[in-house]
Formats: sequence, structure tokens, C-alpha cells
Amino acid sequence: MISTAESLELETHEIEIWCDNQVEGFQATNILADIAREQGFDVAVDLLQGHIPRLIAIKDGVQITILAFGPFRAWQHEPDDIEERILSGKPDFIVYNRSTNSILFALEDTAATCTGNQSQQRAERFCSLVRNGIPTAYCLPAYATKPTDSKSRRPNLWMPITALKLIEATGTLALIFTYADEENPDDRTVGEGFNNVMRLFWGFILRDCGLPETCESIIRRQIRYMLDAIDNQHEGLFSDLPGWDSDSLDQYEESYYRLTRGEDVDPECLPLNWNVPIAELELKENEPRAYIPLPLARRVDSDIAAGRAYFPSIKRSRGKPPTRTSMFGYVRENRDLHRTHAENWPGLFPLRENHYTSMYRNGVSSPGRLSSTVLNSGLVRYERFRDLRISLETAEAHLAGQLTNEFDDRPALLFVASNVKADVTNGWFLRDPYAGMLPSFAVAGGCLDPQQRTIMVTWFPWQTPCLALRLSVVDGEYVPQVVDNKGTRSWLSITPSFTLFNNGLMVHLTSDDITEAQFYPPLPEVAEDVEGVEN
Amino acid sequence: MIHRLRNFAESFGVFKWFADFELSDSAHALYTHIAGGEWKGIRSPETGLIVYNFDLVESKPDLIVLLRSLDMLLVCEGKKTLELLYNGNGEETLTKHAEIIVHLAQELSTERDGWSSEDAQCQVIPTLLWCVEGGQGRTEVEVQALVREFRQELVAAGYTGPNITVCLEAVYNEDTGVISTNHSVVGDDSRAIQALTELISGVREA
Repeated sequence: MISTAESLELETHEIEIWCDNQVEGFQATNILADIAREQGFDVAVDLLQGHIPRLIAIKDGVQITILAFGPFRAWQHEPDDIEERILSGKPDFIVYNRSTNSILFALEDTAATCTGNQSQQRAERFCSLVRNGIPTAYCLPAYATKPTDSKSRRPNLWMPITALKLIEATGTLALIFTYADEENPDDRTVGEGFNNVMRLFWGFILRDCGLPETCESIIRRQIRYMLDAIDNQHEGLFSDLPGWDSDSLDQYEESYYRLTRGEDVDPECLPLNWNVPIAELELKENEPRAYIPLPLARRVDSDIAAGRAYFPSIKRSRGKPPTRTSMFGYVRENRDLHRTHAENWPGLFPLRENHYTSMYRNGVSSPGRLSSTVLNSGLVRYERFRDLRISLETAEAHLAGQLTNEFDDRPALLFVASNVKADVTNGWFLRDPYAGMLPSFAVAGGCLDPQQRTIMVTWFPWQTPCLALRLSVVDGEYVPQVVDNKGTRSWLSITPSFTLFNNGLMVHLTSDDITEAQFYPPLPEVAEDVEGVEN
Repeated sequence: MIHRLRNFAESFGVFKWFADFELSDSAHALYTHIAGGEWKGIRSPETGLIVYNFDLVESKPDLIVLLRSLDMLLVCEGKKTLELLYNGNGEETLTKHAEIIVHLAQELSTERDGWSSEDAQCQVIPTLLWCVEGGQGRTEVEVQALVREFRQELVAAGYTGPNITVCLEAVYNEDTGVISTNHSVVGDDSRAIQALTELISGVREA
């Protein structure tokens, strides 16, 4: 038992850890206790009120009390700022100082098997937290096994690239940590990643208390770790990584580290600028292939064949597709939802039944199963938005001459979200992992980078827009509203952007306010006899 | 400052017992269903690595605790109320839990990486957990009736272990924000009942 502030004259600090569930909060408390003990603190862990994990650490006349609360929304005193943040996706931990109402640090920590793109599944909260000025870390296994086949898998490189581009755009800390290795998959004790991220976690608490800490050395080391990971693996994952210079890693490390300290850095010194002519790239593989020859997919094929676009990623798979019966059910969900909301959306284009027919015919990847994967890769980079715009306007006749040409000279990314499910109650618009993939691809691909200003175009070949949008009459006008969930928040976070739904509806987002978006075809005019019109 | 819950849920009762077991020296929590991530399977008490992985669709218990000093393994199902543990209240809980116990007793009876031959010798003890809001805990009569019903399900499922059932209770007091616990051990092996009762009392006092 240690003496606390009640019995001694101590400088006291109280920090709250808000978390996704109480078991993880308890576990984090115990890990922080071990770190504090190593650093010479007198430490005790118990349960306040019988069930709230509490750590009390005392050293040199300072007492730090840490309380862990989870799940976030189970508590009456959940801070409004934390509620606002978790609307864009819940990280595992948010470190909070109630006395200053400030969020100190956030950590997303996963033991899930981050197969390829699945590592981006949690990117929506990572990007949102960092873009809101919160230092954030994401810790995941470098190697993990999947129970279904016991094979070891590793994540791709989009997350470290996303993190570095976030640092560049915001100056806020964004770090990726990994643990385990090929021989010891899933093992948190192998490698320094988990240990270091928890030391950074503790370091941010010490920093807030005005005590000595070692965050800076961890930050700098981790930036180098991310750069080394990109350097070691990019040739096996990307068609080309323009401008990447393995001899400049020291300079890259210095530049990103200075950015995290709020210092200015010449943008020309930073890597990861994709905005170079395709003709100058050494593309390893760029075979066009539309699995399902929808009109836009055929146009993209043509653009790739003509050297106007390419697939940045070279390692990809179609995943395990659902059964035909399940797929028919998903399509039916779209039809039902579309029909229901079309009643309140005059002029809403019907769903493209011929597209579904094409999927049934061309999506058979194994007996009894249907794949909705449209293209060889879900991400296509265009040297210029102009070419993609022309393809969109050609594939969708109603768009001809409609889309703005103000972005024509910018690069563009086409992201194909091939999911079909349409269960609106569970937020299936940009469901996992798509909610994370969209901002990750956008940020990594240069949407926030003034040197690139990449335009994001997202295509939902199978889904109804009614998963994301509703129409209502306000002050005599039809006004769009979003169905508020982390998927739609992720969608609105990337602007300017364009989104094409199955029925041909194109939405041009100009800001995160959906009422400022442009719709093609335009939203209907209110007829005089519409109920609810206020004149 | 009293920290109050918006809604008291079963997960808080399960967590209360999980944390009490974890904080004691005499128990290791191997699994809890109320957390995801690295708690997705039954973990080795030494290495923390998964020694048994549940299938996605497989029925899972809420809590598994290893009591090495007694060579026992508590496999626990929890609900927000005692009544919800009975079959027919939303799902066939007692039947399902009896089947889980029989299945895990079989699975965990063989040595494997991170699971020693001594661990594999441990007896699986059927365990039930319920929560109470506000007032007193449930009466002995209510507990005995539940256990009798559960015994029948265990026999029907082919359970061949000792006739002992551990009952864990979590009581939430909204005024104070405190969660406290009660426990009882029901069965016909008085020596084992006494040992379990004492060990769990020690856990609660830890």
C-alpha cells in the first residue's frame, strides 16, 4: 500500500483513459503500471468503486492517478469532445485531462489479422484524430495468422504512407507501430512496437504533468521505422514509388521529425509525391482488366491501356466472395432501400439492373460464389483528372458536359468500393474496411498535399445512394441529408471529391457540408402541392 | 466524484469478476468474451498466446479462469439477471452453456504449446454469473433452483465432471456507483466446495 496525496503534501494530477472496453482499459493500466515501476515510481493498481481500473504512481513528490473508463458511451461523464471524436470511429484508447478538457493522445491497437488492405480498416479514426490535432498511434501485428487457414499475413504499406502524409499535412503526430515477426506471428512481446507505443502513451501522460519523458526519441525512432518499412517493401507492393531515394532516408527522417515539432520544412525535401507523368514511371505491371465489364470499368481499362492511368498497387486479390444466394440478398436489400426512399426523392434514377446482371454473369470466381470485384485493383491513379472526367461523362451519358473542368490539371484517384450489402441500420455505406480505405488512399495519394492536390473519385458500382443520403423539404426546397455514421463522416472528410453510385447519381462534395454539394442530376424542385412546403 | 454508468450491463458484472480474479495471485483469467482483439481466443497464462481459438460462429463462454492451486478451470456464462440465465428467455442459455462446457472440457484436456500437462488435467467447473441492480443479492432458494435446472442440462449434454457449480453475483449500487460481489458454490463434494469458496473469498478480498 502506498501513501497518497491525502496523507502527504503531493503535487497531484489525474488523467483519464477512455477506451473501447473495460478489459482493455484494465490491461493498459497494468502495462502503464509496469512502465512506471521501471522508472522508479511507487505504483498501486486497484478498482475504484469496485470496478474502475485505477493506477496511482508517485515519485519525487508528484502523484499521478489514472482512471480507465470503458466502453466510451457507458458512462454519464463521458466528455463531449470525446463523443465528438468517436463519431468518426472509436479508437481503443483516448487519453484525456479533465481539468484542462484536453485530449492528450490516442491509440488504435489491434490484434486482428491485418491482411493487406485490412490494415486500413481503422484508418478512418486514425485520420480523423490526427486531422483534429490529436497525436495518434496505431499499433498492429507485422505478421499475424488467420485462424481459418493458419497462414501468416502482413499488412501493406498504405498505413505508414498515410501517417507520413498526415504529419506533412498537419504537423500532428501520426505513427504506426508493429509487433511480431514471421517466426512469431501475433506475439506482442516480439519486436519493440508494442513496448514502444505503450512507453509513448506513458510519455504523453508525463509530458502533460510537466515531468521528464522520452517521447521525442521514440517519435524519431518510429518515423525512421516507418521509412525503413517503406524502403524495404515498396518494390514488392507498388508499381512504382516515384522519387523515392533509399539514400535519403536520413534526410526524410529529419524532415518528418521537424514537422512533428512544428518546424518548417521545404516540401521539395519530402518523398511520396506521386504527381509525376506516367511516362516517367517504371511500371512493373499494369495489365488492364475489368472482371465485370461495366461501362465505366471498360473506360478505365482503355485509359490504362492508353497510359492515362495505372494501378499503384501490384499485390492484390479478390478475397473470398459470398455465395450466390447471399449476393442476391444483398442486391435485394439495395432494391428495397432504393424503392423506399425514391418515394421522397422525385426523379431519382432507378438502380441499374443490367449492372447486377453483368455481375451475375461475370462475377463467378468459384462454383456457387459471386464476386463483386469490378477491376483488377480497387485503386486507379490518373495522371490528370481530365481523363477520368471524360471517362465518367462517357460511361454515364447524363453526365456529358456536366462535371466541372476546374480540376482537370490535377491528378486523380479512382477508388472502387465494391461492397454490395445495403443494411442501413448497421451503417453499410462505406462499411469496414472501406470507411478506412477511403481516407487512407486519399491522404496517402496526396489529397491533402499542396504539391499534388489529388482529386478523389469514389465509385459504388452496386450500392444505392439511399444508404448514405436522404432528401427532405426545408423552407420550400429539397435539402440533402446524410445518414450520420462513421462511413458518411469518412466520406465527407475528403473534399473536393466526386462520388458515383450504382444508379448514376454523381455527388460533387465541395466541403464537409452535404448541403453545399452538387448533384448530377440536380436535386428536384419542389412542386407547390408537396406536403410540408413552407412559403 | 462518483462515476456513474448510463446503463448497467452484464459486461460490467463479467468485468468485475474478471478484474478481481486478475488482481489476485491465485487466478489467471484466460478468456473473456466482453473484449475483442487479443482476447479472441483462450490464452496461455504464461505466454499470453492463444491456446484455443474460437470459430467465428462458435458459442463462447463469457469468462474462463484458471485456478491452478485447485487444478480447476471455471467456465462461466453471465447474464444481466438470474432469470435471463434460464432457457426460454431469449435463448436456450443453460443448454448452450452446458454444451460449451462439455466441448471445452474435451478441447482443454490435451497438452499443447502454452498449455502444460498439468493445465490439461484441470477439471472444468460449470460457473454461472448474474447481476443485480440496487438491492440485495438473490436468495439461496433462487440460486439452488437455477443450479438444479443447470445440472439437468449438464447431464443431458454428457458432462462427466464433479457435481459442483460456482455461482458468481455482481451487485451494482447506482447511488454509490459501486459494484460489489457475492458468490456461492453448490454441489455434493464438500471438500472441493470449501476449497473453492475460500479461494473465491480471497479473490474478493484481494
